[in-house]
Amino acid sequence: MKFVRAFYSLVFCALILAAAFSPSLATAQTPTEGINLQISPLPIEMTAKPGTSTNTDLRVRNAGTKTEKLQVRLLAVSEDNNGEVHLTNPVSSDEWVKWVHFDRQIFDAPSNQWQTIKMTVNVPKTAAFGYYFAVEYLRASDVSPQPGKAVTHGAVATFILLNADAPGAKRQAQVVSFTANRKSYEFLPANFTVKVKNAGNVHVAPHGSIFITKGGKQVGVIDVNNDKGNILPKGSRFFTASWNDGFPVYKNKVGPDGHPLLDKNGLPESSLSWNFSHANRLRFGHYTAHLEMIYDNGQRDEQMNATLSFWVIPWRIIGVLLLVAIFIILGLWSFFVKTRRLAKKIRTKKT
Amino acid sequence: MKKIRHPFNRWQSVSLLYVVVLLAQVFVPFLLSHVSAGTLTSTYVRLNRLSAGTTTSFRLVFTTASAGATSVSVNFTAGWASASGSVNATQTVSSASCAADTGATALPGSITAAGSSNTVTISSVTALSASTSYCVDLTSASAVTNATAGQYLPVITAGSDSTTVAIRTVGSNADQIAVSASVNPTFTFSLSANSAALGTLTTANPVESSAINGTVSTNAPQGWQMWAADLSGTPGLRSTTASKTIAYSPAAGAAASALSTGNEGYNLGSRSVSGTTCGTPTYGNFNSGTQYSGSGLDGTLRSLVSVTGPADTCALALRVNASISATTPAATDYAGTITVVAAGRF
Amino acid sequence: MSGLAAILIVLLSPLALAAQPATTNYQLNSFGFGSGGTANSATSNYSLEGITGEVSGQTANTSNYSSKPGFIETQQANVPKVTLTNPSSYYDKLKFVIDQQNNPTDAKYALQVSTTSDFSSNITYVKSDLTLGTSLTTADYQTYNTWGGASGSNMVGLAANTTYYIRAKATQGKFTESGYGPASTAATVGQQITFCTYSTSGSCGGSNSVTFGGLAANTITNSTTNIGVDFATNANSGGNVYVYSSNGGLHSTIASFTLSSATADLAVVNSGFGARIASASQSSGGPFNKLSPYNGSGNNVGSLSTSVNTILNSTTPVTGGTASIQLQAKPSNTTPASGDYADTLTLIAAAAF
Repeated sequence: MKFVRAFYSLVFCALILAAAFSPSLATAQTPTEGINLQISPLPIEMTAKPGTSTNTDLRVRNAGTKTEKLQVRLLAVSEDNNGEVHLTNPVSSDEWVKWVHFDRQIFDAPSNQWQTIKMTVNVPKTAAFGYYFAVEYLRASDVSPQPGKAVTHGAVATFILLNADAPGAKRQAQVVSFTANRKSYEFLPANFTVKVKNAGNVHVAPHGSIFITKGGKQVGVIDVNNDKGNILPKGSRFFTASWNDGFPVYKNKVGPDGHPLLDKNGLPESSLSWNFSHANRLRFGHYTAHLEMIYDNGQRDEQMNATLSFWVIPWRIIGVLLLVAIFIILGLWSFFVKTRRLAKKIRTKKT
Repeated sequence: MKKIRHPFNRWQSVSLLYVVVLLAQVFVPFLLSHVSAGTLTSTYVRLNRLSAGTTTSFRLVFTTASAGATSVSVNFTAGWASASGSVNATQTVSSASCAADTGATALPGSITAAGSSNTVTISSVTALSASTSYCVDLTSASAVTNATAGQYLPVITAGSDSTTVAIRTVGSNADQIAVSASVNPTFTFSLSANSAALGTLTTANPVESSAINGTVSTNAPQGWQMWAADLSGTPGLRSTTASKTIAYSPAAGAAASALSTGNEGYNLGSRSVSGTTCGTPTYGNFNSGTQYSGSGLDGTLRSLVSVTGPADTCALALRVNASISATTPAATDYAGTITVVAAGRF
Repeated sequence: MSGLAAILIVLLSPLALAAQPATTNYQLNSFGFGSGGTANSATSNYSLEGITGEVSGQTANTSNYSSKPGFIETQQANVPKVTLTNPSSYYDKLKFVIDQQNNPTDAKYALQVSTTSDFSSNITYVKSDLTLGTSLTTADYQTYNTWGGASGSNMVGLAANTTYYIRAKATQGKFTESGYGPASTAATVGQQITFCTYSTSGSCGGSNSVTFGGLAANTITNSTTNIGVDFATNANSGGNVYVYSSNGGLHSTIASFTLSSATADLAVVNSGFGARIASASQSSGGPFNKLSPYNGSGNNVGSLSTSVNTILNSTTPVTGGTASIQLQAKPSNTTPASGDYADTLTLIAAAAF
């Protein structure tokens, strides 16, 4: 009996030592570099009838130099009235958590290799309309807290826009505001912001154009949300558009490394660009920007409109032109005065 | 003035002239450069489209046998015409760029070209040299209309030299390969390190860690967003040995403010995004250009920055700041954990 | 001198041989007097060998042989044979090989060519430069080795789609020239070029579309199928296969972006698109060559630009030339996502005759 106990003790000690001195185990469990992950595609839109299931492939690549052990988990997604997206841990009312299954929850991700995870969503008969969540990819076991340091755990997430295609779906959007960043400009660009609210129960992707007119004549068209970004139910989103088809025009400065230059407030520095081949695009006067956006309400395209106006007054150019005009007028006036005096003198001498 | 007497009378002169003319007829052909019919070699007609029924430009390259040609022609022959092929009457011609491609000599002269019947004729060619390779492009996109699919035997003639070449046309658009691809949206996120050292905390001044860059590259047109949270359960800088947690200052959700000397606090600050391509950023509460400035975290993922448009190596620098008061318990195991999540927008 | 005249009459006048000594049952075809004659009487241009008392025998012919007894005939070189072939779809040349028929190595041969089987018209001779000429000069008599020996030579400058007949005669010094041997025949073919391009998912005449499927940023993707090229020509200088692109890259109309093509190692550059020849071979002739910059390995690709570039060639006639061209693409992090990236590659061929 003593012999057996001694044997087991030896085996136990050997296992402990092996675990302690195994370099491979030590490095595998202790990441030494920041996470570096690539995911595709994104976002993923899924549509399924209630009572059916649907699936999709999620792909993730460990772009780091060492093999990682990764895991996937779900986060709830919402969008607020300011267009900000919120990621939260699912709560008990998030019924969709029970519908979603992965063929691999934890997996090895060798460096530079794409891993494909099949996600299946079993949509129950009671499901209806939009469900929005994110699949988060993170290390299965990340670095533990270290004295004197703040450790950082990194993760990436793919948004899933699931539409349980049930009767009663309401796709509705409305323009909350349409603004320009200024009332008047010396030179373009004129930057516009459109705030659109989703008043329905399924995500929508409104898009359209801003038509710039002057005196009833169209002088420019710019796209709004041409990339068809989505707005989640109850959320709002800001879309920006810039009219820069002018002369001269402010352009962002770029450093020698090709990176945009930023001012001390972190905003892009800009300078006037004088492209004289566009000299005919000198903007001056009162302009009207007419917004026309459409979205698919499930049956047809629904239109939304808004209008604003603004001034473009290139006062420096006008000032220079005025000065030149004044000098020319003064010069001409002086010339005529001198000519008249000379003529008078000649007449006087003749008489 | 002495008059020079002509040695021949009128009839003698006429007879002499007649003899000279006869001799000239005999010898002039030998005095002129020797011209004889030869075979053009290394000769090809390259139709720039082979599709039947398509109009196309073409290139001609040939090597002369003999010298002296001042015109060059390509006779596509009656077989071409009977198979619905044709030659355009209006032609444009250039030998400016073919020499570099082929190594041949550009066809010299102020060359012009015209089509008639089945033949394209290039005229105003400066007399060609013997045993020399020449090239020329019939540049009009409608120089010829290709005959139905098959092989044809145009005859190339340069002066007295000629040869027959074979060309082939193929079925409609069978000379083209349609290539298609889709570029999937991808999103790459990396953290430059997995920890930020705070060093020894002192009451003399707050401390600021070196930056950890959260770098994003994405081709997703809708932009991207980055969030941060402290999911440790007890948010803050925590010492197990001292049973002490230095709480976030300001609290989570508050606007960024700087830590002050002698006052206990811990926060996360960010700087402006920078990189090769960064869209328009909208910062959360953490952004400030001031040292030791930032905002607090809790268990909720809070927006660090939301950026429009695609990104190329667009980095957000993150720093943690900490300060202690005179009453903060001493310990060597103060540690914090920050989780940073990034995603491409929908 | 009268004897010499007699023998000349015998040699030059076949009619003279008609009156040979004969009985009812026998005829003496050859007899001689065995005296007189001349050897090698010469002027600056001609030489004469004559003999008296020797009567050239009557020529005896079968369909394959001709016998001419007598001293003059017996010192003649053996009648050579020649074989004419078209071994590789020649359109302007044919190969001949002389059969010496045991003539000594310093024997010389002349080759007569006609387009009629009985050499009744269009008579030409193979000149020393292997072209055909209407005259036969002493310079056109070449030794067996000079005519290419057992490998033979090609007579050149022939017309396409034409049947030629050739026969040879031999000589070894003065007074030894044989008659022409039997004729051999072969025909040239027409100028030929065949060309086909297709997706390697099928074969010539099949699909002409190649797809990449989904491309991921920073990832090199090969086309799911390659571009197949079949090429053959009997042109003496071979031929080229060319390629050019409509867009100079993969273009997306939706994203207003072109993933530009360039010659590069895609493993090194951030993004790119190009072609690389995976394989090229031929059944005979050629070789069917991969050309730079499309001949790289791994991820080294050549540019598919809007200008015409030579991608494959052969500098000699080639049959059964076939190649497989792989396309590779690599978007960068910022290559806009879109499902409509496309390009049209045009492949053309020309043969140099």
